[in-house]
Amino acid sequence: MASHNGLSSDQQANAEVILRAKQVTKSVAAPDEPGGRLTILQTASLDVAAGEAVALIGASGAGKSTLLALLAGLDVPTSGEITLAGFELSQLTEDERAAVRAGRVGFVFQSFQLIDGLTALENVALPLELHGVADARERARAALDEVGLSHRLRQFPKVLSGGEQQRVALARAFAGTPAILFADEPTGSLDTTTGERIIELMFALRDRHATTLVLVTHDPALAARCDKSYAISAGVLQPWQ
Amino acid sequence: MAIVSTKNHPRLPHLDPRALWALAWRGLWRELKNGALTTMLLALIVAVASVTAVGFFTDRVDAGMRAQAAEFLAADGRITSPDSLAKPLAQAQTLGLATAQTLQFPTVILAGDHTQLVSLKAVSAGYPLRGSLTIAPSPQALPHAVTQGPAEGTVWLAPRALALLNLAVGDAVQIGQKTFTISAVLLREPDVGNFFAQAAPRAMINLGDIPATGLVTPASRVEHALLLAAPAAERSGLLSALSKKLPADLSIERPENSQPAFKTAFDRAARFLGLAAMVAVLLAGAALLIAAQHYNRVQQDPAALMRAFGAQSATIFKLYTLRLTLLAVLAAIPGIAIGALTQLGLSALLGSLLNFQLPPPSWAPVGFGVGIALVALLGFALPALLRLKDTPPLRVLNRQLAAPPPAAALLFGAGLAAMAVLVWLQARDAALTGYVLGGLGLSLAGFIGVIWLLLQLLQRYPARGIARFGLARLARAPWASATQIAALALGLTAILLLGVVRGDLLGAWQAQIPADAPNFFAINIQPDEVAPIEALFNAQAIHSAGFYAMNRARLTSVNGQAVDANALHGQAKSLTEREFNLSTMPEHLKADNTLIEGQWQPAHTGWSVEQGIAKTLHWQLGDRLTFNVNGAALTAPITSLRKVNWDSMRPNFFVLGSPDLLASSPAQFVTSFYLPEPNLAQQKALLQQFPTLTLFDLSQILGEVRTLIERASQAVQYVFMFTLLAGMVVLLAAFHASEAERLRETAILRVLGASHRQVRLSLWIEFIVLGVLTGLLAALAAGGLGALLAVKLFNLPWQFDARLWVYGLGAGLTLALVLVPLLSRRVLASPPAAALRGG
Ligand SMILES: Nc1ncnc2c1ncn2[C@@H]1O[C@H](COP(=O)(O)OP(=O)(O)OP(=O)(O)O)[C@@H](O)[C@H]1O
Ligand SMILES: [Mg+2]
Repeated sequence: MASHNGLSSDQQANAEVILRAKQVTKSVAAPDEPGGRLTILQTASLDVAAGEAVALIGASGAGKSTLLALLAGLDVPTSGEITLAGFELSQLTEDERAAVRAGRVGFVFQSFQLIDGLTALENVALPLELHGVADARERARAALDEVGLSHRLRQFPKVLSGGEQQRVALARAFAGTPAILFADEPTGSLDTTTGERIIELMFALRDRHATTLVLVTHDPALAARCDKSYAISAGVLQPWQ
Repeated sequence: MAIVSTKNHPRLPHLDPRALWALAWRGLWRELKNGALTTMLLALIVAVASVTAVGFFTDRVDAGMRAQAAEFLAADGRITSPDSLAKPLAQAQTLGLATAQTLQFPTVILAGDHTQLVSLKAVSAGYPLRGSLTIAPSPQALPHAVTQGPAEGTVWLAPRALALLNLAVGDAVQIGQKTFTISAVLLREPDVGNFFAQAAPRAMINLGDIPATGLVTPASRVEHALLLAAPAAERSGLLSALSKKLPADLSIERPENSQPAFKTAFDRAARFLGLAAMVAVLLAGAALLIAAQHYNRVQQDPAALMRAFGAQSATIFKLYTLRLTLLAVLAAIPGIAIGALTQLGLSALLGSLLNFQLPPPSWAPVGFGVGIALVALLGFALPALLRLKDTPPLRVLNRQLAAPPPAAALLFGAGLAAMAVLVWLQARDAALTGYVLGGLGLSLAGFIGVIWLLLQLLQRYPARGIARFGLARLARAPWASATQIAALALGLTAILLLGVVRGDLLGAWQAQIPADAPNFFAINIQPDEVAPIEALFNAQAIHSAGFYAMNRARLTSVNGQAVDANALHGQAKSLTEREFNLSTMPEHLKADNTLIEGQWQPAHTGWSVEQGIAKTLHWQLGDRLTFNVNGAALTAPITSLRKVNWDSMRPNFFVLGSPDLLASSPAQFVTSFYLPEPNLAQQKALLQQFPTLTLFDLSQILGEVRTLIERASQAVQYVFMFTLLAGMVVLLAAFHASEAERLRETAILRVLGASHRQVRLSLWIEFIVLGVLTGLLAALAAGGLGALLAVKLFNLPWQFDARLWVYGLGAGLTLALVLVPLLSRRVLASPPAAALRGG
């Protein structure tokens, strides 16, 4: 079982484990299924050490996003435990999970998820403002500078190219200097070259900020760039090499 | 840095108020710039603008009308008495009230060998305290207004008196022992007074001349009047202070209840204005409702993102509440400014039509404007956004997930509560508020129910081809479609109600005082004069209301108990003290009477009593009343209660007796009739032929009431423009709410290969169905509400107006005609891929 692997290094690496999943199962009500429930994820276990880059690889519909959502505390498992930054998430309320994420967690999504009505700068500044960061605008500007978009601060997402939008999303994720970044197929909506550039940028930023990375992808080459990889297939998680 | 700790629960971060404030401001500013809040802002501005414009304007019209009502008394308050009012005069002066006195009695004017009975009125300096007198140098000359009575030694005569005496301005007449010079023709005086007292044409002199005439001795029967006035701020206080000092048999008459006919008209005018104002606000509410639901949909993604970034749900709640509260305050500023400006412009425009001076507006509507914006927002917009705080953060990965929809009960409850507050603030009328709210609430519930059912049916029996796509869009989200259509229907109902029903109500009102309503009353007609006068009427083609026998009577006992007026108070006392005018029951109830209780059986011995007086005197069906008529005690039970339309200007009586009761008592007759132009020759002929007959000219009062109705119509018309404006914002809200969704859906259609024509067709089908549904429902609701308002509130007859269907459907189709071309242009302008990207 994959879980053995994660647990074996448990004792020594304890101080450095920032994210841990233990026997996590997610099932949803499905009247058409036998037993009335559909299991999307089955007894998945993994450990992520601080500073590590971990890839989750799998085909479409395998359950990658489901696991990512559970790890980030966006959703709760049906059974099992997830510990993020020292907090056992299933013991927490929705608001407490949000408090765990606040300032610690960054996201990058396949569909960018920028707010249409806000300029690039405003999109990047929003999470900082939400956490009451005083110099949110300056930090947002600096973050956009880091991704090479200092000339597009006042543009709205609609007029930006896909690659530019994802760079804004990267700036937004890194502006808050998160401890851990969750990326769900960040290149999924981009052409190959643009996608590669985004990946380069993401890894460069991660290195600079020493950010832990959990990266969902279906690209084995990309998974290979990470320190550790897991494969998901039909809801079952296994170490992958 | 990884933080590994053993503590189980994180500390919930608390965003400090300054950061929250800044965030809310910045969010508001961004969304104002990027247009996300435009519709709501416009709805709020229109709501505030219409409410404040109406507020400012009705405030002024109200004050103006009150001032004009005061003119009917020529004062803010009046005390009348057969005895001298010297003591109250001194008391009023001590209190600091402005005062004037009048003295009125019938007397004879001598001019050469002509004599003429006149109603003489002597007025003191200061008269009239309110309003003005209209005089002219000759009957043909241009009249002008003056604010004081004749100088000593001069007399002003009514044109009729001049004609009867064959005199002109400048001639001399003798009144009592003093000779006066006629210095003007008196055309109009504000306080015409009880017309039964004014049997003869008016002559007006200065009060200072009374001693010299030698006409008034302590034994003379004269009517003293003390007129009182004070600035608005101190008015009620001073008048009630004086009122407390008055002996029990004196009371202060206030303008509002000085003229029954005018008061009815005044009340109705105020109700019409209240109704019109309220409708504009409710429309803005409908726009807010639609806009807020759209805003709620649009804000789901940002809310989910904020949650994913770690924002507390309380933070999101506070953020949206604060943002919208700021929006309301922000909208109030231009709203109030526009309201004030519009009010200015339209008051100037209407000022020339209104023949009274509008007083300056008060500051009250400003605070009122801000309040309205907040109430409208809290009631119509905020409930739709309350659950944004519960948006699942997982939505960032799964777009299917959304914030739970707001509880229907909350949406409804808050909407109704807001309506109640708004309607109450506008109308200040519990009955009106109740009817409008009950009606609109029921309509809304009915709308949503009916539409929801129809949409369910649509879903079950899908049409073919492209039509299906248009209909499916409506059916897919039945709850959202139903509320949107209901809000549109509600808006349209309001417009129809105001547009069509207003005309009908005003028409019905005007019809009650038709152009040929009797404008003269004649009393003291002897029995043997009835036939010749009737013959005269026929010969002159004068239309009369018929002749009615009238017996003067005194109420002596009720159910065997002697009546003691001193044991009664107020109106009951004065009613019982006064002589009753009894008349005989006609075979059939007159058209301006309605049977309320009991039976109309003239063959049975009994009294028929007007319901109002029965209520005041606590009389019930079956009570036995005894009247003393010419020394004979007539006792009979009350066999029926009637409602009387006093506006009809026909003779009517509080108490009618069965013919057997009154047959043996000698009666005099009364009639009313219409003279096309006060025709002096005919009057003269009548007067000369029948010396005992007394004639009253009602045309002045009728004219005043008619003018008031016209003014009310104009004011309502003016307010209606705001309603239309609010209607346009509703349309805009509907457009914006539809746009984003249509954009996506038609993009899918086009990707699947639909042609522009097919996309347009699907939009046409959807919006024609929507428009027809909206129009029909609105027509139905407006008809029902109109009937309710007419019958229950305005006491006017009502018939369903077929035009409601036409206008309702027309407006519904206009909705489609306006929205579809706009939408299809927007939807087809961009390549489909753009609309799908980022989805
Ligand atoms: N709430 C849900 N109800 C029912 N089924 C669900 C739900 N959420 C996810 N699934 C199903 O679980 C499976 C895994 O979904 P998930 O989104 O995690 O896949 P994925 O690996 O991210 O796929 P992709 O690469 O296409 O994004 C899919 O078959 C999906 O349909
Ligand atoms: Mg996925």
